[in-house]
Amino acid sequence: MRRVLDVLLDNPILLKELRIGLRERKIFLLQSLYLVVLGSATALFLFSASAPRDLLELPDQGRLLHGILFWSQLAMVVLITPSLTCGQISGERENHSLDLLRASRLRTVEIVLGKLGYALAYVGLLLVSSLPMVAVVFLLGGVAPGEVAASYGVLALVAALVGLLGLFFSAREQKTGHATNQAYGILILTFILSLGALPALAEMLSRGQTLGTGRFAFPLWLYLLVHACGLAAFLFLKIQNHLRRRVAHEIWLGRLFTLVWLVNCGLLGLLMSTGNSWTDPEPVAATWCAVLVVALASLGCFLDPQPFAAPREEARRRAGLAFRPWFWNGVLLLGLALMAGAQGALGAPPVQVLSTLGLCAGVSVGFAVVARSLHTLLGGRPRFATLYYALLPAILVLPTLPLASEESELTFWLGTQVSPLPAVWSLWNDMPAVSLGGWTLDLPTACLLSWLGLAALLGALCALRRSRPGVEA
Amino acid sequence: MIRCRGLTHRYDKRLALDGLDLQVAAGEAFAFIGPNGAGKTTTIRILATLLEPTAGEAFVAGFSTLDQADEVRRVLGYMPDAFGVYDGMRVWEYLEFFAAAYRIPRPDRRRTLDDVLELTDLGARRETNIEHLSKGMKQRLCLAKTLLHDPQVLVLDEPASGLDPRARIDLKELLRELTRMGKTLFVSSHILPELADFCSTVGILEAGRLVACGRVDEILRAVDQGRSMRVRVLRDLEKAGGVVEETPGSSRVRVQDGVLLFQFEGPLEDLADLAERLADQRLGLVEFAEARTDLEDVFMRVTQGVVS
Repeated sequence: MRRVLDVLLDNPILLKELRIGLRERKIFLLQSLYLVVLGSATALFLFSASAPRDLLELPDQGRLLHGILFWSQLAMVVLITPSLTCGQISGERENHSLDLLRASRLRTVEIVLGKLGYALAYVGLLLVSSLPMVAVVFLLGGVAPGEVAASYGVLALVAALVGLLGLFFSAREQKTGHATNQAYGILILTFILSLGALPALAEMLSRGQTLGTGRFAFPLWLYLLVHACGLAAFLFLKIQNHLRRRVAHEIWLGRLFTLVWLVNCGLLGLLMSTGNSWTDPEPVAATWCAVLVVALASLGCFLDPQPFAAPREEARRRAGLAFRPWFWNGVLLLGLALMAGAQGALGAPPVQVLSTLGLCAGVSVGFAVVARSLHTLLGGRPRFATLYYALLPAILVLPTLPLASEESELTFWLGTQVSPLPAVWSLWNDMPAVSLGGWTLDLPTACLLSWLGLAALLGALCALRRSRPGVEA
Repeated sequence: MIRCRGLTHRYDKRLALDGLDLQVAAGEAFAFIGPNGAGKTTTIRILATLLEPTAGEAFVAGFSTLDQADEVRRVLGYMPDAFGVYDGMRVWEYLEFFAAAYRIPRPDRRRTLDDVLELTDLGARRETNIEHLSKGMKQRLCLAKTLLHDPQVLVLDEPASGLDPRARIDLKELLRELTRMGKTLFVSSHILPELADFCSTVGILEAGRLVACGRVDEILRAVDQGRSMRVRVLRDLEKAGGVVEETPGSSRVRVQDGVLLFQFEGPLEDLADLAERLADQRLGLVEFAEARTDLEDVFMRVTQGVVS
């Protein structure tokens, strides 16, 4: 315990960053900007709000002001935190001081915690300085102190996650500019993609939504918190890997991921059965889609071509079962099978369950081959892996938009060729087959064929490249 | 104190180190020289536990750089060729940060800081902002940081690069003082005469291989077949060169900066004859002497300008 406290509190990196960082003009300007935005929002609200006709309207105004302040703070925390972490490690690299730190007796965990601690300490300062504005909410009423505390907890958690994302890119990239572009690129893309879902999610959270019902009811906030912690742990370990001369923690990363994944899939299979989902198939389709996105993103992380510090280590890595992409593909498929098994055992229609499992398995295998082949064909440079990180959300989610806008069959069919999500959806919602040039294909078959076809094509190109003399595999 | 056994490192397809075997005794000042791209920095990074070799192993004070990295870091002080200091910090803050990074107990830090500041002659700059220090002072500050945990071995990569002549002399004095204190020095540099002044042994690296290693005079004896001679005449250097070339035992006759240089193998009587013949030619002979062979000569003779 004392050792953990020492790493957190008696951390030379944290002290150094606070000494240097808090002397910068940027820090003062950011804080001023933060307070000006929040102060303006509060003042604007108070002056523009119509005078309440009766006192019972005041709590509504309090809730509205609390909402305005929370979303403004969330936006600013998401924008400010990466600016504090994106240059932390790449900046040391550019300054030629990273080697001095690595050659000292500091452990990588101290370096990462020190850097993250600085960003969180500053965000903490911003959040504390916003308290006078938030206190106005209590004058109006309608919001319990527990809710305010919970919203600050959410802001701190988001700051930690976004800070870790910035540190991750900072550790990956040689230049701060590249790290900043990538971190903000991912955040903006995620924001655009989740624009529709965010208010609904907030609404569900404030309603105390649970997954499943009765004995199996599981609070949505806890479910999200567990996943956020898993993601934070994953990023934290990955950052350390980029700082070490040997790749470490891969086994822990694997164990962590396997545990979360398998428990998650079993739990979801169980929960879906308790909500009378077979007669209302939309939640089932949505769960399968969400799980598939997580599966592909995780698989991509394990296929991430991280440069190895030492060829000796790479040889060791290649020799181990736990480091083979096929192993992770197997783990992912096991999770999907667990989910399908739980559904089947609780009475879901077997044909639909098996079809969904088959489609997800096929796409997952195809995805692994496509990602690996692209990496080889593009020269195996880590920069292309970043491209993968940037494009994955777009590839998976953007083509599903026609689903919402009910575009023509052709647009829908084309979307299916890129993203497997509409195909999964169609399995549970009886979407019609698509006729194209005299061929009639149902969407899952079309999707499966396109993914496996692409995988076969790229796999063949890779094999051809490897078989050429002088080209190393 | 330092031992490398079959050290090999490969960057993708380029072989940077090719089975390097090396040994440096305790208290020795070892000059590690070689042309650009020879593998000096790679070797140093492996010793500093920043890089894992593709094959082979290195030991510092008996600790393996592969499996006992923390022990190696405890006994080794590393100063890279390009190093960054943190602008926005004062000198004492920078040193205190590294003192904490090297796990120097808090009560001892102030005394340690005072000692290294005095040794590196930076005591008067204790409160100065680092960004206001000159390049030479920053170099000394980095050396002060390297000395904080009182390491037995100092590995310095190009410590004098980019310094003006005065700063170089100051640094050289400081390194000499460190050898007197019994530290083992492993120094790489391009400026060979500087190393020759205080380094007792030398290792010459080319294309990832050690082409010569040992005491400077031993290597000289090994590479020097005979004597290096220099002749200066006031008139017709070419004719003087002809006379030298005709003399049996002379070789590698060349002109450098208006001076005739050659190697001579044979009895001293033959050398005396040659001097008399040159004088008889009435070419204005003003110098006929044995040239002092230095580290630079040794380096030029054992390396062939090959880069790995």
